[in-house]
Amino acid sequence: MYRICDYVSLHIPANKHTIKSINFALLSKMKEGGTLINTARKEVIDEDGLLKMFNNRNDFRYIADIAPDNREIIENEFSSRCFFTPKKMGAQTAEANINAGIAASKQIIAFLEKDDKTFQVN
Amino acid sequence: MTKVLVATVKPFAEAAVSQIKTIFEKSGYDCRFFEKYETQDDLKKAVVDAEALIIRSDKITAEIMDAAPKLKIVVRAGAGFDNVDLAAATARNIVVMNTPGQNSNAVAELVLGMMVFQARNHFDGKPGTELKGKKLGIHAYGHVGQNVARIAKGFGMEVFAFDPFVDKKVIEADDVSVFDNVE
Repeated sequence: MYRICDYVSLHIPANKHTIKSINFALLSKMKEGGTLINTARKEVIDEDGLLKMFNNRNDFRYIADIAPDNREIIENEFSSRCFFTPKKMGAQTAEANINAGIAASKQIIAFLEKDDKTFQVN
Repeated sequence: MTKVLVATVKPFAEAAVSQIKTIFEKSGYDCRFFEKYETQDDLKKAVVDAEALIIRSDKITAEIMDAAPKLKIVVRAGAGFDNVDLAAATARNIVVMNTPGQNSNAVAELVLGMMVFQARNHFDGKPGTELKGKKLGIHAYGHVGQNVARIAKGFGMEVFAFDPFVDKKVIEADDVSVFDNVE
């Protein structure tokens, strides 16, 4: 997928299997002119590998709403090929806030009153 | 009266706050909001009598749980829950939940918005490129990925996905081509 796509959008969770899994070995397979988009988790990116990718491939682009820790270096050296929102912005809409807030409230009431554990994750 | 605390460094939008208050008031719960706090110590003090907790990206550690002896449930308003120490919660008999899918369209719209911004050279006046006809690979086809696919198709993109945890038929039903190998 990384070899043939012009854009790759990450939606993997951060867990022991995925942390730093988006590394140079994988990124270097990207199609010429490819853009990686990350609105998932900062931790899934191997940031040393990301920087190496910027240095080795002048066609590579990376845009994210969770900036890497080496944001300053990347923005200073490769400004036209990257973009990072000032803060994590993915869920920052009124609609998403309302949807998630209502769902959370109803889930608490359902759990406390009916022992409904439908969305339990532990 | 059951005490619910909504603890958010990044507060919910006003409309959401109002609706959360209404839901708990109607059900006879005592719901308080603790917003824009600065330290984990501040959070520790706020959770002392909470029986239920709603959070966003807030970090709920074992230390926070120990400061909340009545806590029965933590709900992360959002999909990811790596900000909650699940093992610590389980050890303390605290149920942790997320709210999958509720933020997914918002995230997906941002993905496409940022793609347009990058494809148009950050709107610097120089000619950029269009998304139409380009290939988009979605790495993990959950709620957000599905919404990204839907919107990208509106742009005329060719959409692919890789997700070993989702049945191929589910992805293909959205007219999205499946890759068995992420590379």
